[in-house]
Amino acid sequence: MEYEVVIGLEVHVELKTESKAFCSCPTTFGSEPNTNVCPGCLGLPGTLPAINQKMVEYGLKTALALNCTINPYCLFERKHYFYPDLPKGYQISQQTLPLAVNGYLSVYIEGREKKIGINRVHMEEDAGKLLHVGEYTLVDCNRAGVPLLEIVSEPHINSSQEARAYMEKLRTILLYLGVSDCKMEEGSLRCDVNISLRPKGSEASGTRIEIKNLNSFRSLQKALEYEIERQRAILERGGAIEERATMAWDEEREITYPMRTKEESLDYRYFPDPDLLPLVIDPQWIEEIKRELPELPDARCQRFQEQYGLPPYDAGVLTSSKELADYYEGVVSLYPEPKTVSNWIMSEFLRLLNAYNLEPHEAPVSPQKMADLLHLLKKEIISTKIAKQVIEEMFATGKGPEDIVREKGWVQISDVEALEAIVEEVLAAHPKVVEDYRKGKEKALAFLVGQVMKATQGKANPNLVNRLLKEKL
Amino acid sequence: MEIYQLTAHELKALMERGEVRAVEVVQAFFKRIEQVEDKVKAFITLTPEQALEQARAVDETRREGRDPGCLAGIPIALKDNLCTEGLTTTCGSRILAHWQPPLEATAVSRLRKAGAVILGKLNLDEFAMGTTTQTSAFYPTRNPWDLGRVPGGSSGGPAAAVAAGETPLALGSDTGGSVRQPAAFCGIVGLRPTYGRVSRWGLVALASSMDQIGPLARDVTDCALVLEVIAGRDPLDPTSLPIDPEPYSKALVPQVQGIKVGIPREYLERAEPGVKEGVAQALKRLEELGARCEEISLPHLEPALVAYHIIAAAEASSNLARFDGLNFGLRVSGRDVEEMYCNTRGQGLGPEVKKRLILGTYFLSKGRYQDYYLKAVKIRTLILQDFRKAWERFDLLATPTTPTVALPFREETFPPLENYHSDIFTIPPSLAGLPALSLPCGWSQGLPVGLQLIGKPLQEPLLLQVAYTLEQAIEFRRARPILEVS
Amino acid sequence: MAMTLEELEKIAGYACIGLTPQEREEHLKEINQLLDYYTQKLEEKDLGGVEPTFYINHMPFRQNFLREDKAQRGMPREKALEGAPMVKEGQFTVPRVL
Repeated sequence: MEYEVVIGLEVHVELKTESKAFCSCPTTFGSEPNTNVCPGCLGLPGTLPAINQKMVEYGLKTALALNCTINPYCLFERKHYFYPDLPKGYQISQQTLPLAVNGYLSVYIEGREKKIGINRVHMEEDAGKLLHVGEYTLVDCNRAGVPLLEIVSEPHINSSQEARAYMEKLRTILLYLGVSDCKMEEGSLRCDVNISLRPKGSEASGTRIEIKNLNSFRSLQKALEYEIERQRAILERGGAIEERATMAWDEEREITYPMRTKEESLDYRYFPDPDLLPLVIDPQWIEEIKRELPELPDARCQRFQEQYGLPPYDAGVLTSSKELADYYEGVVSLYPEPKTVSNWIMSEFLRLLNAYNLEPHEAPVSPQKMADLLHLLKKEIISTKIAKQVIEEMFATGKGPEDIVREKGWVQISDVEALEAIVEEVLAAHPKVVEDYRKGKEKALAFLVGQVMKATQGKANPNLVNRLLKEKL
Repeated sequence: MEIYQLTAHELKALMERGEVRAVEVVQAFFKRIEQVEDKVKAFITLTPEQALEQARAVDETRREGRDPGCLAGIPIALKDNLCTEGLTTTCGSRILAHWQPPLEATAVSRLRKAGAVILGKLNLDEFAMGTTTQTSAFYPTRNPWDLGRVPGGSSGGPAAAVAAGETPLALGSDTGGSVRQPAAFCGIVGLRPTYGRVSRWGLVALASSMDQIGPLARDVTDCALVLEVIAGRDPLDPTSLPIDPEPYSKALVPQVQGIKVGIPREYLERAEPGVKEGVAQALKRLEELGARCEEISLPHLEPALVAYHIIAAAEASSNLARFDGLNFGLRVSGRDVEEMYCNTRGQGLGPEVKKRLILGTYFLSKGRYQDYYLKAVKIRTLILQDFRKAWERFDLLATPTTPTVALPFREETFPPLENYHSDIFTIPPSLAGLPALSLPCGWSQGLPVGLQLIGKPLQEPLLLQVAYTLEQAIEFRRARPILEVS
Repeated sequence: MAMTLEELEKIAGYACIGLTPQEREEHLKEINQLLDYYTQKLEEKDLGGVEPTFYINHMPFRQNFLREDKAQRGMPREKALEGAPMVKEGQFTVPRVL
């Protein structure tokens, strides 16, 4: 039987505010345990929460970027459970009236757009961090109270590939907005998945399994692939999927395994937090936030195609991160040949960024230096081959392209007399090849060009070499 | 007249005229405490050294000609659910018996800033859950007028300490009547301000949507004096109102001419005859002074009582979830975390608290939320509507504070329903967040009777003015219990 | 709607309150007395069409209470840990979970 895969994602995003959601403690990652704490986030008796304005603004930005409807007022509610990472015994969250509902984001799978619905976006506080050592569990409350956005998708995702695309797109949007640093390895972007399988064409929903602990795009995709196969196998031999099971992803063994859950189902006993009056979001505030929104990835991608005449693929790659798109536009403004710039960025520049593990804005090759390099190329002062060496040097040393070309003596040889002598030598050294060419073997020319380039250490102007060779032959 | 018999504003005048020093005042009160505390048991913690040091500093400041603050040198004691930095704050519970908060209640720091001298921390029903101060994990407090009776609660310590002359002023907290009811039982004045008037930062929460800190004192003037200091917006309390405190003591003019006072029929009818009589006489006096009293119907007494208990229990079950033995307070160990939680809370909390937390958890649980909690908050809407309607015709409402005078002390716990009914008149204004005050207005069975005045939101000045006028006319305020000095 | 002993145990479990068998019996009796009374009183009132009141807000004008996003150093670690029943390696410590 054929099965349809139904996936929904619950994403938790740590917001990049200076202070925590409901107290003034810093949100700095990686501090010594329990050094970013105060009576408030330690949940001491007598303390009260005070809402961080920036958390709400970041929430609104995100909700708008995800095409959501903002609720005119929203409630903070308390979610209760006892666990050592939760100092108050409840988490301030949102349930009945969240910040925003009913949005979507678009992913592109093999060039086709798919809109994935966003069910809700709500604000809540993070819990503390637990460390299990021997017979004890140690509790660090630095993270307790850090503002989170929970973004819940509709179950509109039908493959592991789509899930990954959704997650990557969401990350790009969040980075464009500058509301989170989205470091999955530090836990500032986390993802839980609900997945079920049902016979193709069936309306009934299958039994849902939740998978937690997915802290990279790769594990998201791998875990889903594994889980889809696992469930398919169970269903195919007529078995039943575990009811309300929660699985965890084992990164090393690349399998999902059931997490131990409480025997009794939890009852979170949500109710409106009596300490926090409903938050009123008036249209004026929404307008202000809208004005502050940056150009978002989809819009920018569209613009790159229209304004710079780039193919969709180029535009997609270049706008996949705000920094890269900014970099591209920086170079184009100084060297207005959009497709050439795109080619250079998408090949050499990205390859070197990866090799050095840098973000575009951290690269030692500034847009100005990149434009300078392309100008040298255009004026035929250097060849493409040399240019590739120059950019390597630029990454390695941080120097400008002119300096490197000068110091290394890499200026292109465009002197006809000088080149003529070399061409003569090459022709004399390879009579067999010359003969082949004259018999009509076109490829032989390339060999001869290569020999000239070799003799000049790549500095010969390739166009000139071609012309001279053809003349002599 | 002994120093301990004076009101705060009388002491203030004496000190300002240089007739008595702050140190002498503080010493006089500690002497009084020494004499009567054995009988009254109002305090949990006494801080004589710090108090004397503070008093000396006030005297020094005054000698240097600098302003020592508007409550300089005046002793005050605090209900022990108000956080005092570095000073044990127990909430009358075993679970917090040794807890020294790293934070201080805003109301307390404002008092300190005004120069008030803190004598110590006062007994209460455990976590303010009770109407007798008998649920305190330590010991019950006695009513100074009759040691065989309860002082009321949950601010029984504050009310008894003021009545016994152990302190001229005390700060309590009022959720459903916890300032007004004990004030009535102990024959003193107790004020519950408008919800949001006084910051709740540092008050260990019982029911956050109703808790308010309020003063207990011998007269209305003293209440106004304290309110002036503790009121006003606090960035640490999101429910504190963005309104500057007014000079409440300036509102104290003896004038009630033409003020329209509503008398809720259902309240009077429910009071025992002696209380009814005492209140009726006070109201008669009020009319003679020029106020226009008229009956009104406020029918939702019993539903309000039920709604209050459901809301308070639900909120408390949430607020007290933090008492889990993780990072502060008592821990009773267990084989695993779950057992540790259950042991800590099972053994650290008293029966009344446990019962209310179980009830509150129940009211918020699946299915019950609709059956109980949601209905309760709907009844709350009805109560608000009742009051809103009343304000169309009246400036103020007057009721008995309690249906009875102070109840006899009993060894066994009171049946819960009987207990809860002690707050039946004070609960409706609590649900509506209204300012209300209890004024001693007469006697029944040789015990004080309290008159409750309820004001419109933020109308503390009028409330205080009417209370002050009546206070001047009924000559209760000099009455003091006779406690045999040991 | 009386509470059963089973229900009491479940709810006490949610609230993490350990009860002795004797306490269970006593609490159940008192709780059911109260629930009887509450249910009876709640049923007397027709609450159809009545909106709930979760908050009391006497602010003269509608205003959000928001805090500017400024970080302030919290308390020193020693102070944060001072009142804790058990501390190891600068952290609050409980019996191992899971």
